[in-house]
Amino acid sequence: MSHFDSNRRRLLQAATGLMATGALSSPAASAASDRQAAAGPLVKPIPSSGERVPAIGMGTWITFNIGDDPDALAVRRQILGAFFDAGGGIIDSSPMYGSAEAVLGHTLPADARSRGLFAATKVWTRDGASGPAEIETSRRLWDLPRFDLLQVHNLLAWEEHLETLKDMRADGQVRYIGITTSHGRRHRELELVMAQEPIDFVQFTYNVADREAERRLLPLARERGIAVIANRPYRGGSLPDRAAGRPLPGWGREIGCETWPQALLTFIVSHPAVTCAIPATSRVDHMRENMAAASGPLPDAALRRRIAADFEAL
Amino acid sequence: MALLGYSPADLVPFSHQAWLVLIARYNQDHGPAVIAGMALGLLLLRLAAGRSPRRLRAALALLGLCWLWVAWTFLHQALGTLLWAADWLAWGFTAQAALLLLSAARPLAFEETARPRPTLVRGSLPMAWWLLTAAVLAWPVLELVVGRAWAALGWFGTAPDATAVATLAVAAMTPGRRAWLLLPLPLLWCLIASAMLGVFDDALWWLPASAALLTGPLFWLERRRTTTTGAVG
Repeated sequence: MSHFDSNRRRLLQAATGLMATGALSSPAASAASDRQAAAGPLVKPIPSSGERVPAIGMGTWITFNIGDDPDALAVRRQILGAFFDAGGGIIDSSPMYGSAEAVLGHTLPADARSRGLFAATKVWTRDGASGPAEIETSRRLWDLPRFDLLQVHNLLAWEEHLETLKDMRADGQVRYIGITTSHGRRHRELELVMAQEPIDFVQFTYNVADREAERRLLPLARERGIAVIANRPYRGGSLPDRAAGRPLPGWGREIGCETWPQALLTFIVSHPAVTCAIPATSRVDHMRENMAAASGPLPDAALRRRIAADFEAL
Repeated sequence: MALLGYSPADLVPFSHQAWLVLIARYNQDHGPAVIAGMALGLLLLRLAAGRSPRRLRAALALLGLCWLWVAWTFLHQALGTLLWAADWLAWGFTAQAALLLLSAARPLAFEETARPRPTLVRGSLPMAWWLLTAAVLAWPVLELVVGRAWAALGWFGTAPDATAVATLAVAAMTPGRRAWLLLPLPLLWCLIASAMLGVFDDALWWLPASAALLTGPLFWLERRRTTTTGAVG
């Protein structure tokens, strides 16, 4: 049995996604479909719309919380340049991340929208009534007319915030809404929200070492047609550290990966229910390495099991 | 904001590198204040070693001003750009400044009873004075030893860690019940600092917590001296 899906299958998926959407209305979607047609990085559909987004996105936790340090800002501009050059799309942040949103506002290229930016942030306040003001502050910090995705951060006051987000989506102030958690926390409560609420996205921790989501959350996301953003794909950097200096087994070539970090990302986005992984980095070379992941054939279920077993054995 | 269910790593949304750059830029932006803080540290050592109770009150007042500076210049202005909770910390430091200044404004117990200051036996220094010396002089040296750049050293009077540990030392020297009021916030900061440095895998992560732990025996020793010299704390 082949250890990977064929490029043909991926192109077929792309065509199916385009048919599902009818017309792709947003610049991000157009850019994504163009990259797909040019056999660029892997793109996957958002189930609620069929819009296709690059499967490797970017997180900003810690790495973009750098204040106004000019040297660090210059590096973040380069990181974002490398991200968009490689066909990146989803950038995820939060008001919890200190200066990260302001840093994005200062460092995003002026043509980020036309280059495929899919802007995602979160609402993170205990007071439901202050949610709209916090979202507006985030929008001003990012310096964008609107967000593509707004998520309730870590299920905080989610009942109230979700009502706000649903109203905003209905008014066209945001395209997608969702809810997040991380570190495997509160999965039972998240499952209830996924089962009952009309959300487009869900975000939780999923990586080669944290696979609890495979039991219930990922199947439920598929069943309910909810896009999945996998956070902590490197478990805060500890997974690449564990693989440092270890050669990638022969299967790496089969899936177009040269390094363990690329294989770790490919493992995540090859799960059928995962839409996107959002690694964070403060290094341009790491960004290029991340964006080169999942650019080859995807591993099938058997090879995914082998990747997990080989990593476990490191 | 929710705190339950968060680990220390979840509450520190910046890197070790960002922390060191923040300190370096803060030192650069407030150079004269940093130098003044060093001078105040030396003055504090002199005040704490003196025989006059008024000197101890002056030391408390000096510490109060330092806490106020750190609250609003370091925590609110500088750290506030990286940490959503920085303003909470700034208010905590302001409360500590108020406690120190109020303590400085009131006569010490041994002034009221006209007895000699118990810890000032001629020819000896309070044990806590050595902790104070460590906070003022040895702290930046230790940071330098573990590889921190000169520019990113935290100095007494303008950086929170050394200022908090110095305060624990002076609180240990302070007689009376007011000393207990001066302890909780510096102790809490030392624990926060150690937790944060632990998240960074900083070589000195243990230092603030160790200083906090040392405060207990120092308190006991200083009060034992008080008892043996017959003075009322």
